Amino acid sequence: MHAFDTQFAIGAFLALLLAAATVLYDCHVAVQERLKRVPLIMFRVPAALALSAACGLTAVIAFSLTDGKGDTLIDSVLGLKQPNSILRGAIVGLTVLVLVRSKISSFKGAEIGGELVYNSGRTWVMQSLNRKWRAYKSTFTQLNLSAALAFQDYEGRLLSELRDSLRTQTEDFRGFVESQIRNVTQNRPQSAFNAIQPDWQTYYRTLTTLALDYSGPEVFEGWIQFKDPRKV
Amino acid sequence: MANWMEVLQSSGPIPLNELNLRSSESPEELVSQLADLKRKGLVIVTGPGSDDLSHLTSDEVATSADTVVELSWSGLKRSLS
Repeated sequence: MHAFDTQFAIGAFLALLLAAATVLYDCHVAVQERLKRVPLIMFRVPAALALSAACGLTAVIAFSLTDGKGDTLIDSVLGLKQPNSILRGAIVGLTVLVLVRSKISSFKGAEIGGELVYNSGRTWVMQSLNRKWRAYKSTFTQLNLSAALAFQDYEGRLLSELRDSLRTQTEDFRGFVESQIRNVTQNRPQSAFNAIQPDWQTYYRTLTTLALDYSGPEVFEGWIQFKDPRKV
Repeated sequence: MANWMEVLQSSGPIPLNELNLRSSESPEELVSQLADLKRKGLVIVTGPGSDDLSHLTSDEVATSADTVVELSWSGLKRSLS
C-alpha cells in the first residue's frame, strides 16, 4: 500500500487526466475520419466524457498498482520502472490505452476484455454523435429551407462553396463527394421550379444536408439570410 | 453498387428519400440493397415501410421523408474497426 503523499496524488491525477485526454483524442480522430467535417466537440458529448472517465479511472487503478520498483508486470510495462511518482503517473496515463487495446486483448482476431469494452464504448460515442448530428441537420434545414428556396442560384453557389472547401481533402474523398453531387443534381426535379412543391423542397433539403455532411456549417458562413442552430 | 456503408458512415441517420437522391441506383435497386444490408444486420431502417422495404414503390421511396436509414450497432462497430 502507498502512504498518501503529494507526489503520488499528482501522479494519480496525471494518469487520470492523460488517459482521459488520450481517449478523447482517439475518439476525435475516429470521428473525423468518418463524419468528415462534423463540428462536434468531443468534450461536449456525454458518451465521450463517460468513456474517457472510465479509461481515466482504469489508469488510476493501474497507477495505484505500481511502485516504481518493477516488481509487477504492470509496473514494468506501464510504469517503465519509473521511481518518480509524477513521471510514472504521466507514463501510465499515456500508455494505458495501448495496454487496453493491445494484442493481449484479442484472441484469434476476436475482441475480448479491454478491446471489446473500448470498441463498444467508441461505438456508443459514435451513435451518440450521429443522433446529435441528425438533430443539428434537421434543425438547420427547418430554420433555413425557406431562405434556401428563395435564394438566387442556391444550387450553384452552394456546390461551388462545397467544392472550394474540399480542395484540401484527398482525391479519393473529393471523388466520393463529387459522385454524390452528381447523383443529386441528376435527380433534380424535372418540373419548373416551385418553392411549395415537395419534390423541390426535398431537393433543396438534400443539397443542404449534403453540404453540411462534407463541409460542416462553415460552408454557410457569410450567408446572412441563414441561421445557425447553435446561435439561435 | 454504391458503398452504402461509406455513405451512411458520413451522413449519419438519413431519410430514405434523401438517400435516394444521393444514389445512382434506381429506387428499386436502392431498397433491394438496403434490404440486403438490413438482413445482414448492418443497417437499421425505421418508419413507414421499414418492415418490408422491397414493397416500397418508386413514388413511396421518393416521398419517404419519415423512413430513416442508419448504421446499426454492428454496422458502426464494423466501420470503426
